[in-house]
Amino acid sequence: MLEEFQHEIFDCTRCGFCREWHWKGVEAVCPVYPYTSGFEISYARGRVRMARALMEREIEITDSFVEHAFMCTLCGNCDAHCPIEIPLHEIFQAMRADLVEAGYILPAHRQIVSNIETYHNPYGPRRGRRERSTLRSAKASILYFPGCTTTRKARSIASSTIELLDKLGQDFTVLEEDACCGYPLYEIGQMSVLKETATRTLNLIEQRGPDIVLTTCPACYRAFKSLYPEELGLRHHFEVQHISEFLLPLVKGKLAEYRAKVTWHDPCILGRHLGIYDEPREILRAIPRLELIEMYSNRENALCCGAGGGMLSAFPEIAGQVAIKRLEQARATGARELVTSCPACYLNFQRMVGHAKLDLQIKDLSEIVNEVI
Amino acid sequence: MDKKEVLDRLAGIVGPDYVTDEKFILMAYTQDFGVHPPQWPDFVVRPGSTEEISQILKLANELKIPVIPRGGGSAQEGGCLASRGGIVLETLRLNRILEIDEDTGTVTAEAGITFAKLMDILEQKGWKIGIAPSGALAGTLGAHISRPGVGWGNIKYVCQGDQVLGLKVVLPSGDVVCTGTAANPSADCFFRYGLGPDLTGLFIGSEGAYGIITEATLRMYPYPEEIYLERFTISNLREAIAIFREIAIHNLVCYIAVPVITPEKIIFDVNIEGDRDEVALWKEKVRNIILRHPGARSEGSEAPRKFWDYRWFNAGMEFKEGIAGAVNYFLPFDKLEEATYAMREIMERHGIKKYAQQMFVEPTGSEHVSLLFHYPGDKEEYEKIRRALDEMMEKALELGGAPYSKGRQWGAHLAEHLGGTGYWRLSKAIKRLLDPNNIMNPDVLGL
Repeated sequence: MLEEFQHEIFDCTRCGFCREWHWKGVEAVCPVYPYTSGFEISYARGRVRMARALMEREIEITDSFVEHAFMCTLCGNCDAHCPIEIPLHEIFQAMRADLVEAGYILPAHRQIVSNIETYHNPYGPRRGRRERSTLRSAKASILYFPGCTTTRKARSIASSTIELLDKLGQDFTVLEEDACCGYPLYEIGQMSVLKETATRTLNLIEQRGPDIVLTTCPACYRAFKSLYPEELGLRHHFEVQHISEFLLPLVKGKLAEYRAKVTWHDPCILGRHLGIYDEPREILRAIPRLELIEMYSNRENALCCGAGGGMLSAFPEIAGQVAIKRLEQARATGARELVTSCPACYLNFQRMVGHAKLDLQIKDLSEIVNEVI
Repeated sequence: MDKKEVLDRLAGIVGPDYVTDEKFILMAYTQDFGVHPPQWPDFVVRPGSTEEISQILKLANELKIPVIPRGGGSAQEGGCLASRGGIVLETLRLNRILEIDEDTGTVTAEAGITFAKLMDILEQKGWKIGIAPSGALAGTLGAHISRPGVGWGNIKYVCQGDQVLGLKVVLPSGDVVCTGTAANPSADCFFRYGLGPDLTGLFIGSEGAYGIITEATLRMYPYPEEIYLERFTISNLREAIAIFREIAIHNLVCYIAVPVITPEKIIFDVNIEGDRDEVALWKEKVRNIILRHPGARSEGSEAPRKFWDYRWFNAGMEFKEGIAGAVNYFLPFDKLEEATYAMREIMERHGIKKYAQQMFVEPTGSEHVSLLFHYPGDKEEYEKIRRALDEMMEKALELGGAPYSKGRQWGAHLAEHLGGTGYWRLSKAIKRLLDPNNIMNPDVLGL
């Protein structure tokens, strides 16, 4: 994998602009860097050097090397602020894939892989009674794919979305079975398990024959939209839509007043990786009386929530510190609610907002829209 | 003492998280932003205070281990590389502004703060510093003063060294020295001179050979009401230099940046700052000086304004051409033309594929810059660049050039060229006095 990026790895001029800016809406370029011991290998410049060393078999691979290779959220903030425009997060993902292929894996990630292989989700077996949504026909033109994190850890996103789609009179069905899009495997470099998982999930979707697959998770969206066809050679004929794209034309003029100061958190995959910045903002602005206030770091500059890239499972403390930093940015706007549209961001923020004792409510876009429609 | 014991003692000073001898981490400290060959340190340490730096230097002196200070690692002359192994001491944890004194118009900050952070905080309060280095996103205050710091603001404010009122420095012995008025334990730093010799100057431009700067007090200025930018082109180098000289000696602008000098065209931007009336007046004078020269043309304000708005980032985009070997030195106005042709001749003769020539005008001359770009995988080009750089540095010294950032790149050339002079004997004598064990950034400056 890394050899595909050989030219880009050598393109790095070692300028160091990928560390911290404190300028133009960017504080730490690398969200993880401030919460590490801060050596060069804790941000992109040093990580590119690690990738080159791995590619050229220049150095012994130690446990510490492997740990640092995975101590990154793959948020792409370094790509967005690299003057040479190096695809840095793709290099770091490829470094992980090469390490995995050589037999290196973090214990937390081993559990994720095993859970996905066995239970088709990263979190393991379901406990207790399986929740059932309203009975729906197996086939419909729209398939809502809640994804594993929403289904297992942020169920209210799915229930709000289902209620919302019903209120809008949409002909849709829901993939209730455990099925992972595979994106968590992509992030932790598990390319062979990813291919098997993606193939199974795609079969499940295609059995239902949808025209549109609707996601509330940017990772699922990116997986279906680009990862499957471009990286895995898995072609499909359905259209993929993120909930914000889907809702925008449907909800305008149908939303009730909502008196609140709200800020929008751009999930890294939705924003930097997929370029969806405007749709969720337009939906929020379409809510009468809602005051949308931007954070210091927003859109391309948005600070990561800390959960991505397998960080939440492998380095939960750092992931929590990054989340608190973002929550503090949100609170500094004066907003009382942070709205986002990613179950991983939602989960990590929910986890840390009480811990940080911040007077801030975390909501998913589907939740707030469902409240006012 | 074996390495494990050294590591333990360093960990005892800074804590185990902030020192390492892990090879893959050391590897990331073997290079800077330039073309110097990789140099491996034995340890990297990231102290968090002047006191910790003092203890590290005491330990290094006891064990006779070299200590190499490093800020953002974004210079091009190998000044932060461990040419004899030892301890790379990274200052980035010392990143606070300690005091913004609006009464005296001074700001005191720790050495590891980056300029982008320092300037952004000051701008939010309506202040600015004089000299802004183009590498502001990565470069640190201490490292810039050590070189002695040029950047955008060169004509009005000269050098970063000229903006310094006092320093806190840890000597190789571990002793801590405050210079300027802060040498008096009863005083803050508000003036550079007065208590005795100007010891601040000893550490400006000495690139860590005499000690490690840990804090600095700079002058700051009210943020200007207006900043005017305009781009001009001209084809004749001699005419261009005449323009720069006339504007500079009358001190009419904040800076003149000349990012492109080719045989066909010279492109330069002027930056004028002040209150509205002042700017209007200086703008007229500057335009009159420039446009009366044959072939000079205004290209308007839009392009330089666009560059300015995102200037720190745009400065890095220049290196899309590759990693650059750099030969930067100061020359008086009457030598600039000859130097431009001489450097170009050397680069052409060595068959350098991509290079740039630039100037950043000073009140009495200019910084003359040659950047020799290469794709880092191209070993043949790299070797050509290394050979050309050596020849260019020799030529620059022959022309009377004064290197800006010297690092290890200029060391041997300086030693050879200045070797028999009183200046060199004094510099060496100070080095021996302050650093008898030669632990402090050895080989830098050729000392």
